[in-house]
Amino acid sequence: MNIGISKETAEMIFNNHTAYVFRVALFLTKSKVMADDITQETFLHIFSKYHTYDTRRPIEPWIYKITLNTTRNALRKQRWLSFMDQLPEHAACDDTENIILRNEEEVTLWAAVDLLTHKSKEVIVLHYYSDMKLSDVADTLGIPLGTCKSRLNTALRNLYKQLAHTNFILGGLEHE
Amino acid sequence: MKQSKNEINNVMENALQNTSTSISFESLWDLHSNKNKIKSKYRKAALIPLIVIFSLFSCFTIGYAGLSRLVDKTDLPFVDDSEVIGKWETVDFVNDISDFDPKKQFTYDKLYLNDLVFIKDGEMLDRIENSNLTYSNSTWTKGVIISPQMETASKYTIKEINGGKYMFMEWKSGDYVIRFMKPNYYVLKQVDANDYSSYEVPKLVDKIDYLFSNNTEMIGHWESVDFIEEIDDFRPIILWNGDNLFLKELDILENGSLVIKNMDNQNITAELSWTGDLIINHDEKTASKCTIKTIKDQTYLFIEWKSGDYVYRGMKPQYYVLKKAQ
Repeated sequence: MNIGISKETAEMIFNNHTAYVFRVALFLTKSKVMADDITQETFLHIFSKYHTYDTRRPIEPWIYKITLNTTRNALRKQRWLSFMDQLPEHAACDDTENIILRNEEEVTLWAAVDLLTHKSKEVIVLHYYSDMKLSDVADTLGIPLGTCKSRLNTALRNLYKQLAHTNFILGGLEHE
Repeated sequence: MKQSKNEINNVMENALQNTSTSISFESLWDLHSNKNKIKSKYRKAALIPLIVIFSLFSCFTIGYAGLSRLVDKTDLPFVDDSEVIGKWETVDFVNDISDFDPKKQFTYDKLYLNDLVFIKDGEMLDRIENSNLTYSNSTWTKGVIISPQMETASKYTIKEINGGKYMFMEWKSGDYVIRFMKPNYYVLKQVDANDYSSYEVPKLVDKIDYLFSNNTEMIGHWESVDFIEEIDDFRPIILWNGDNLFLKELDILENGSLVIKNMDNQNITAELSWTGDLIINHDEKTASKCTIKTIKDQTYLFIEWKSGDYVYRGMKPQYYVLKKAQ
């Protein structure tokens, strides 16, 4: 028999992880409206599927996985609506343009990260922002570790290429 | 790497720290509770027609996907185009021709195609994945590049931009052939207008004059199970390329000889031998290193597969994985 999630547990999960889910969605979609939608869908999924979560394991990778899947679905839906010429006006605007960064270097690096492909951004967000080990990132994305390493390398190489045209030097990245 | 990790983490933390959602827990919880009620009310009634619709849809889509793929008309007569002759190198990959800006890169991903060479009479050379320039299966006629393998005819357009000559070539990948998506464009810049008719493709040759050295671990009957990029990629429970492997069986015999059977149960006719941990192909002049590993009580042989991609393109060989027969 499936036991549904209690309101207390749901509230605790929401309070602990809502900022993370929203920020990852905002980073990947660049739209506050979409990030709100993704946050809502992610938590509705978490609440309804809580009985499938293995409570002996840490909850974060499970939540990260749902967040990324929901984001992918949302972006797919957005592309379809865009193809059908039915994209709501607000969905196309870039809400990350108003983000305030501390200095010129951060602005440069943020812009470079923003230019990466969706797959690269997924690896970057999990490894650098969520501070997950590469083996956990691979597990969360459902890809082999080798592919995960290769995606991260590609992402870093592309970052380096973009930053090569600026005065910004990204530490630890060497010329090919 | 550590330093760059900190820098990326810092910028993401700073950029995102002041952002927050407008979703409240209470509204979400109400939605969750109502959703559950609606779901249970309609669950049983909706189940039977849904199963019927899903089954019909599955049958239709599986059949349709298996049968349908886009095939272009490829039996086009050769029409000369003096403008295209010579070597072109990839500079970008764009969604549409209008996306291209010579001052700004559109795609930063590592691109598959590096160079194309158009030779008079419709022949071509290509360079892929930073390998060597070699013979291409594709041919060309004015305005079109034909791939007999993919059965595609990709249009090319040449434009002068800022004094440079650029080619926009439709890239008809699986997305076009199977998923019917609009092709993207490779953008190539002309490097020269030379005649490459007499270009000789360099061939990679290994040292093969080894004396026979016995290796009892190699001897035996081996059966092919997978074909992989790196030895570390192999997982006995997840086979990446388990079906339709060209190499099917391998018998390594005591005297330095061996017999390889292909997927049609025919012996491969190349002159082959083995010594130590190498399999020598005397026809192609290649020496393939073999690695033996035991994984969960099963012995596996990993053989470097030195195909045309290695011999003519200089690409890193991939690996056949064979399981030792008990």
